Amino acid sequence: MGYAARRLASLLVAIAMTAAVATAQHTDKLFIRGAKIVPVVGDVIEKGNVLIENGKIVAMGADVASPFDARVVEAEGKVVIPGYVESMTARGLDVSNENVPVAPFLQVFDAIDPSDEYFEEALRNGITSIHVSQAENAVVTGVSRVVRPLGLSVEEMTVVPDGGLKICFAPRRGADHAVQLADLRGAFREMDRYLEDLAEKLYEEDLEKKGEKVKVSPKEAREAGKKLVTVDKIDEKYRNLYRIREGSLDVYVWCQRAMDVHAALAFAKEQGLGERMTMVLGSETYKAVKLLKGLSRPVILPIDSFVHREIDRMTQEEKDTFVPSVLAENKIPFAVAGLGEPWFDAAQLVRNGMTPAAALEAITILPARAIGLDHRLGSLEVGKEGNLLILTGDPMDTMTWVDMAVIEGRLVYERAKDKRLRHLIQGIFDTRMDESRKAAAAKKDGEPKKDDGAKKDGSAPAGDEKKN
Amino acid sequence: MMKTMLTALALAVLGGGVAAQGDTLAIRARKVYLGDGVLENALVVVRDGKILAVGPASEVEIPEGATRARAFAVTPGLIDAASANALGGNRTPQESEVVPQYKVADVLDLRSTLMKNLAREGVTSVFVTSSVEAVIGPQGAAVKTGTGPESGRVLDAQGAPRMVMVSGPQFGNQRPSRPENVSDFTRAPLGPMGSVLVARDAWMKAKGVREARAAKLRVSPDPATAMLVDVLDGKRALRVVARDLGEINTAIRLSEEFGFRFTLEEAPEAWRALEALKRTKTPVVYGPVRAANVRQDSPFGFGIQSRAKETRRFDSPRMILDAGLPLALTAAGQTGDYGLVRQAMFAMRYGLTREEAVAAVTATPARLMGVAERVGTIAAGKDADLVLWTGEPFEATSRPERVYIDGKAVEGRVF
Repeated sequence: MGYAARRLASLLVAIAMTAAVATAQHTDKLFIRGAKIVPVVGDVIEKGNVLIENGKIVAMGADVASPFDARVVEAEGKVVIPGYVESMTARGLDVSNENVPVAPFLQVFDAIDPSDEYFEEALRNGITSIHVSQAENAVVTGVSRVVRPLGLSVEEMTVVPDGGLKICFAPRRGADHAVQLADLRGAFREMDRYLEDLAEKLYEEDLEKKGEKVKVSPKEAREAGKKLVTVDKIDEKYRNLYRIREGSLDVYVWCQRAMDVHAALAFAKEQGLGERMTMVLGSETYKAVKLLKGLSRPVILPIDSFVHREIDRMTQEEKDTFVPSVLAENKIPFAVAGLGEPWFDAAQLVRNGMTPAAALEAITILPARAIGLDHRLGSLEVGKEGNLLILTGDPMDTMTWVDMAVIEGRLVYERAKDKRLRHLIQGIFDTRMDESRKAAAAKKDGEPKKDDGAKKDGSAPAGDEKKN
Repeated sequence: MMKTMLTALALAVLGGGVAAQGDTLAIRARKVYLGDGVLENALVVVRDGKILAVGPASEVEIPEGATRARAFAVTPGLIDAASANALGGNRTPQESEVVPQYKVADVLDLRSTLMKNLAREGVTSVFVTSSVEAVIGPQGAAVKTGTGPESGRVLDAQGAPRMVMVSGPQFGNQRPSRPENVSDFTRAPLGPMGSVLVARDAWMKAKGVREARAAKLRVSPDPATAMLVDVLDGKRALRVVARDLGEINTAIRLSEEFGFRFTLEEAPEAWRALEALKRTKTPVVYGPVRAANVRQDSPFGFGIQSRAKETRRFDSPRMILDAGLPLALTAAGQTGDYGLVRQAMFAMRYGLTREEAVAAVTATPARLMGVAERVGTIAAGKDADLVLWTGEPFEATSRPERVYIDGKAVEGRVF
């Protein structure tokens, strides 16, 4: 199939999905009955119901009753968890970086392609909120955006229009650290000079309006004009850079290496970034782990940064470090970004020693915190967005599928109607898909419990721990 | 929690790391996947690098002085039946398109980093083939991975040669701009039909030799042809790489025309050719089920284009088994997150049972490679190539905790 044809096909599927959504919208109340609820924040409810009204969770628990006018989804034997949150990706953009190193005036709004297969894939895998940001081949990126993987236009997809800016301490392609940092400082200095000129101009205009003459020195004028500077008066070339310093826009700080962490934290202090700053880490930054303590937000750890491999130049010996373990040991909360299939990504944390509950947090509530949206996303709590997944089993089980996905109370994905998935696994879709899951579940019940001799001689069966 | 895990690991390494030759090791596990069956609460006893005994814990006696180890599950060491990249880069001979008399084993580096990494991922044996640039390429080598001494690690230096039906041999080829500008890339073939022609030519020659011999004529074929005669005589196995339906059908047509049997490799479109493959009872070395780069999720892991990636089906392993064909899984050169362990995991997700998945990366590939008397199953007298798992094998939340090759623990761990 040619490119155009594929594009058309994906658009048609998108339209078909939207049509399905439209029919699902006959009521604004959605009631999910009889599922095991894993709210991530709060205790697991072995068998309970969730009521979503006008997009928000209004009740949750074992004894919540269904209103007469709610759409009811029977979920007995299923597991309900919050939708996964992607805290940083450049997928879904037409290109990951523009050819402009300092670009705070750009908006990913202009570059998101709603028909990109990524969004469909995300929905299928249970990612219900996506922070789309330009990648790291830049000095200052454009403004990112938080979207839901649903809709034919970016407006329709948007959850939060102003995501934040990313400033990069690792050199972009073709630059080294010295050039990168000089460009970064240069961008802020250029803004400072502009702001001084603007202050002076605003001061003069202000006097002019009052019919007075400027009597003070330019320096004093600049000082006096400072209080007249407001965001709306600033040229868009500098506006967003100003906003991250002023604290009205999030800032993401990309550090690839340990040396970048030192530089970034010093710079952040100098510029007064802090409360709304999130560090995005490369694998080598684990060496600067002591510096990462006490940040206001969880750090973002892309999956590519999980394993740091070093080869000794002299001996050619390899040393591998599992970065999430280092962060966990140092009690630094992290959000996993760059999710592909979240169950598989989180399982990697579990097989290296984290508890399933902690691994689930790293793809739900922690990414929500990392992007400053934990009051809306990342867990199932009354008052939060009705974003949830109905799974066929435990989240990290190999045989578990996303059966349904709900975004803001709308049933937006049903595995039974997923034509592409059906195509890819048509031989098992209607038969073995659930059969093999049941067989696996039956087998698991037959397994002995964890404390049964597991640690006697040191071989702790990590795979068994999801029982706890 | 993390700490106890780490301590536990450290203890495990200290406690059971050494099972050198002469020592005895007794491994107790909840599940022992034999490769062709499964035992619960079983014991595997290893001595002198071989399996001494295996059976239910109640029936097998632990020899005195044995080092004891414990694991959730044990499987045989995993086997990748098609590890093209173990040679490193394009090492296919360039002097001819038909070189089945050459041997991969002659240039193989058994101490490479890849060999070490494969071992700690649980892959203890591989069938090393060359890349796909010759129409009928060199004989593959069945070898053990790891860092041990070279002696004894080659299971079969004269494995099956491999015929290539895909675009590899013609890839980048062109006519010389001037007659004297001869290079690797000015060889025939210049297209897929050219490749088939070269192959058919070679088989014709071999067939001619057999007919001449049948007529009691004395013939002395060149080494390449002699090798193909062996294949036609059934004395030697043959691999065929084919991706899309057309390529697979061509392979089947050639095999029926000249009367040879083969094992199909890669085969992303095998699911479309199941009827024909059933007729010829052709085993399939399938893979990868999933490739690392999701965006360019090619079903074979190599850069060479094939329209087969448009028509892939994730449940192909299930369909191949349902057709009654022997199935081995390959990671097609991928390691780590998309290595053989994860291929088996994906195969399970898309329809195999755990036992079927274990067989597809242990007993079946061992049989296809002709090395089943030594590896691929856990049975008394077999090599002690074992993987000890932290949980159920191939589960996303479990990993190889310790790997043994010939009873010796492999160093390093995987994430």
